[in-house]
Amino acid sequence: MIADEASLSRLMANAQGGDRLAYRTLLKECAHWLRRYFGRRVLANQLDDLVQDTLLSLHRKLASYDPDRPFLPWLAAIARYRWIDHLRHVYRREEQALADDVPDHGEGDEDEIVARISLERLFAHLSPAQARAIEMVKIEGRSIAEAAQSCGQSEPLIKVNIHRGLKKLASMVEKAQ
Amino acid sequence: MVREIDHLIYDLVERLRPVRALRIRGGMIQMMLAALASFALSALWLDIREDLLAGAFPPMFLIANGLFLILSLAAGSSVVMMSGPQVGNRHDGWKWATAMAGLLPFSAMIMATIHRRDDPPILAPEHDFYCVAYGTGFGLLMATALTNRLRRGAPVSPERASLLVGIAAGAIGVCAYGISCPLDNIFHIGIWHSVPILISGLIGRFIIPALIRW
Repeated sequence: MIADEASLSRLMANAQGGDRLAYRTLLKECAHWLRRYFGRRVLANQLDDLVQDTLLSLHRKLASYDPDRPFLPWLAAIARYRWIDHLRHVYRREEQALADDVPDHGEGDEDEIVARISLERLFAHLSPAQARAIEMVKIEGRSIAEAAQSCGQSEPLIKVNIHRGLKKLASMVEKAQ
Repeated sequence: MVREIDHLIYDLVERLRPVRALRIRGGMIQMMLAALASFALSALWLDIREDLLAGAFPPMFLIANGLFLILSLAAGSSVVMMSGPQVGNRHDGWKWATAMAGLLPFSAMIMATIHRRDDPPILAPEHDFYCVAYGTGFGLLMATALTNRLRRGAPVSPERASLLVGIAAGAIGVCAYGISCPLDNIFHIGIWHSVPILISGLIGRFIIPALIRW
């Protein structure tokens, strides 16, 4: 079960004060939340690496959370930042399927918040060509040539769409909701 | 792989130390203190204009420095907000402030094209250089305060945040120097008091990202 916003905020505030028990609970909840957050936007074999990178960033930037503000939008901004960084560094072809076993986000009061800060909202700001190019090459792990053939675009155009799309994503980390 | 995450969590918990949270209110106070310190430095280092000391405030002085002050506070506030990332953060006020302050150089250029003989001179070499140098220099306090804030924080748009640090620093620097600058005409203020903001913005945009990337 994933804790609610208020509980996570409280755990984080306690963790900032040095409470290790609260921090352990928080990190476990965050790891669980992040696995679902990244869900189908990362190859299954890269999901745990990305979750770990994000937890490390959370630890390094613990002070940047203002306890007067909600926790999940803060975590989502860090997760988006790490995810875009991850996409930039994914070049090699990956055969593995997407993380089909990762459940979608849960039900309940948190649904609306989660939907507003989701990666899908971020992706919605891309043009269809940019979104398709990034999905095929950076997320599904196909080669540029395969993506070009599948989309009916030239290879240079695929590269341009990826470049511009990632730049757009990076500029929308906090805005897209 | 799940065990790896458990090990990581165990390791991170062991390394936990209490931290002082970066609150927005604290960031705003730091920014205001840096602004006040810039004015104090300018007043101590240089002579304050005599007309200001006598209580006479020329309209051009008030309008121009008011715009620069608003620009600096708007850009600085955005930097403070950006140090603590949040999906849903809104920090676009600096764009409007920049557009308003941009009216000064824009007006100066228009006035220069229709310059008449009895208008003030477009160039005043004995003052122009000092305005650029002191304006840029007096912004260093603000630049340092905001950069430190970003280094402790987690800006998710490092390039944008760095540009705004430069703009905030340049604007407060030239505003602080404004209490000493004896010239009030649109050519001097519009051009030579805008150059430090441009220079600081460029320096910030290209140098600070390397200091704050995480």
